Amino acid sequence: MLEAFLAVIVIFSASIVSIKFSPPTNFDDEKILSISGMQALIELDSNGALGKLIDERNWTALGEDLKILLPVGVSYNVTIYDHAMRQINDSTIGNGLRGQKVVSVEYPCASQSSECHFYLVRLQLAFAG
Amino acid sequence: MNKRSRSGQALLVGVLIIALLLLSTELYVYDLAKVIDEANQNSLSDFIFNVGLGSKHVVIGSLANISQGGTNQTLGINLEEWSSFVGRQYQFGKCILSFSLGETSPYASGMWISWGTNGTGVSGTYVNFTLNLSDRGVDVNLKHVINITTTLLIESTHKQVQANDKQVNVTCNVLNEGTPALAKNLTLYYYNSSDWIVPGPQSNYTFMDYGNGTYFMSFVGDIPSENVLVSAHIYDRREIYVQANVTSIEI
Repeated sequence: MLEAFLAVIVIFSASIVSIKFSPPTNFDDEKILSISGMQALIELDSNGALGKLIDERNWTALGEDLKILLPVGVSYNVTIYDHAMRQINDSTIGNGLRGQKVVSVEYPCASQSSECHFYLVRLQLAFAG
Repeated sequence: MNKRSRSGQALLVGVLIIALLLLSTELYVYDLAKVIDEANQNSLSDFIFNVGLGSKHVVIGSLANISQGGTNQTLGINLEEWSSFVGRQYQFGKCILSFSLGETSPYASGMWISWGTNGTGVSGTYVNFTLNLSDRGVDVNLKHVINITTTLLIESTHKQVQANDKQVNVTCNVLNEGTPALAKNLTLYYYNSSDWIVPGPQSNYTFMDYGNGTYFMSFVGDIPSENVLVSAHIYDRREIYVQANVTSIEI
């Protein structure tokens, strides 16, 4: 009788401790995509290449550079806005966004040119397949 | 009685094993959650890094503009616009990027342009930034300084070849923030007592790029004056312009 009572106490205590310290678990694909996207944009912007490619409206090179920097199996789509939030890319930049969960990363960017243009880069990512 | 006691002990051991399994699973999940927290902090630190990087680009672009003849106000105007732009983009709360232009000598309005005749030319800028981010969970107040400087050092020696013809050797060193850097474009001039001349093939002009920010040039010029004045004008890889003059030393 006493053993059964102790067993119930132990199980009950363990359950209480588990519930009390149970954190929200949302470390999933969305977080990985978000971090990968931001890191790719920072890498591209570190030497001013991102702003330069946008200044030159070189969407092909921008898409290719992101393709290299993003993990394999990630599909992406880029939209670029000027300081007044007008979309400036007149063609699709990306490899065709496909996947169930789509994550969007926004990155304010300043070009290093003497005319100093500001852009907002919106990068949408998803695990393809 | 003994049999009942043994079964009770077995029950307790079983329960303890189950409790241990439960707690160890929870510990594993808890460790994963710590990674989540780190990820959340990453997005904040990414934004801070992003703003710092953009601010640096704005400062470099403004310095390039001013060194090429733009007004000194360009730096302040561009930074105002950048601060306003960044403030509108932070989605998780309030973002205020403020700045003050360096006013400590040799800087004035954040700028230091000194294209001297002693063999040293400097185009530089100094700006203090304060980034304040606040939302429900975060209150960050960060200060940082951006100091961009392109320096050109020029040395020259010459010897008389015949009559007014002088063989002139010039060495230029380009520095970005004090470390050797490459020039995008370099033009050399010498003064022939009436005009500044760019030495060409007719002057036996030779140019050597050492690939480490050091450039060597040699030419023969018709220079009647005893003093041989040489001037180098460069654009670095960031489009920042700087020039320096020097009086050549006779050897």
